[in-house]
Amino acid sequence: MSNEPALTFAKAYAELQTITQEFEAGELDLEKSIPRFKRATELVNFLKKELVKMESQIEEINLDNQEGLS
Amino acid sequence: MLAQPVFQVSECIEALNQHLSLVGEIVVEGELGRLDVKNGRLLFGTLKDAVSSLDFFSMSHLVKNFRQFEPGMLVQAYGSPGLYKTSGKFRLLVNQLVPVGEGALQIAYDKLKAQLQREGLFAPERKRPLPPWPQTIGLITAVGSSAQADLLKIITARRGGLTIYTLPVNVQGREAIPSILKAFAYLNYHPSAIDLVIIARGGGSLEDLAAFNSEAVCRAVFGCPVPVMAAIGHEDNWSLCDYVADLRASTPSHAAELAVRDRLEVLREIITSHQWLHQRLIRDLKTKETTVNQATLAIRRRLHRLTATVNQTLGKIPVMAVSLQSLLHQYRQTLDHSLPQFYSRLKRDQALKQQDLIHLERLLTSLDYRVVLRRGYSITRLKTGRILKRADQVKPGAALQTQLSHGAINSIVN
Repeated sequence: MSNEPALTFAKAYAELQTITQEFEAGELDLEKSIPRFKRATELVNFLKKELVKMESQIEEINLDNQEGLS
Repeated sequence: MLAQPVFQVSECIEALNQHLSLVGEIVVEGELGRLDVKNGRLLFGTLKDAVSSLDFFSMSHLVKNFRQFEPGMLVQAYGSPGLYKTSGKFRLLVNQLVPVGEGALQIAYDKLKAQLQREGLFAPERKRPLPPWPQTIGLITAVGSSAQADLLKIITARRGGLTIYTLPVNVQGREAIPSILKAFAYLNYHPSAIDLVIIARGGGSLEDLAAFNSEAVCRAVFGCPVPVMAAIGHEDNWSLCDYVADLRASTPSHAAELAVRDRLEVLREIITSHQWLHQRLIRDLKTKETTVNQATLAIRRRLHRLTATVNQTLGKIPVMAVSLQSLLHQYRQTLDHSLPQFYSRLKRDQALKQQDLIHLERLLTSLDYRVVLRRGYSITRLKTGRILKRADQVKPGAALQTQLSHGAINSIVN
């Protein structure tokens, strides 16, 4: 997944849903469904990696020291 | 003894106003006697109690919530005492007017709620869907409050890898509204920095929740460029902010659950999806395999039938050959029988034709004039070549030629 820096959790999840819908619709022939399944596997691996992250970053905004605020 | 100073009227009012300015801001609580609005922006009102009454003046941009008030409400007026320059009458120059007591707060709440509803701030159709997977979340809460603690605890337990910005505000008291407005000003200034905003506060009285029932905060929530979820107060006790927000959660904990899906639940979902896709692919592969097998079988059967037909046809060839030979033999016999007859008929016809030819030749010979000449006859012609048949056809001196059987004689007529 390193060659896809733009991939986010939201995009990956949405793409996985799209692939699932394509399979549900039964519109894919084998020539297409095999690469789509491979892509789904990549997405699942990416999502799993994201989901096992434990730490979140917590940052306090100093509202008294912000430019442009009245 | 010093002489008393004598002031002009305006000087007197100015001097007294200077003295009064030393008093600074005061808070006066009383029942609202009247509140008149002139030119849509000048507010003239009276506060009173059982003994006294006090006039006050303000402007609509200072007391933005002036429409919430009605005579009889208990209010607190924040302002500075002073005299009108022109009339010298005393008035309190008010910069903030706050309903006091549950009764007044309830009236203000109901009036503002009706007004915002009329304006469409609660309309379901303007509610934005919350982002399903927010990566950055802004929390507008009081620092160290249980609301903030609950939100942080539950959000971080449910998902990792997020960025959570806390925007610390005062959630009650006089500084509550300005600080909340500052937080929304930050969001307006950085609209793409945060995916979702949660504004939360624990339960409290109407007075405690006054900032979240204020028109300014409601309008800030409405105008926020980022979807807002509100969790103010108790489950059955909605603040006006709750009505304006894109989604209302009953408690801060509930807000956290609505904002972020639990990682295990999502993990289970995507694993199930992946397994389903795999099973579906295998099923499709098996279906294809069956189709290919059926097609192969059909081709084999067809080939088998074709081979049988060819073999059958090949088996018939000797019989057909015999039959053909027999047919040829018959034709040959017929030909052998017919040919002599044909030749004899042809010869007979030829002999007859020969006789006819001889006869015709004889006939032709008998008619030849040279035969007549040989018998002693002759033919006399004029010079022109015409045959002379009568004597008067010529005159004396005419040249004639007489043809005999052998040779010719030229003569002149006498």
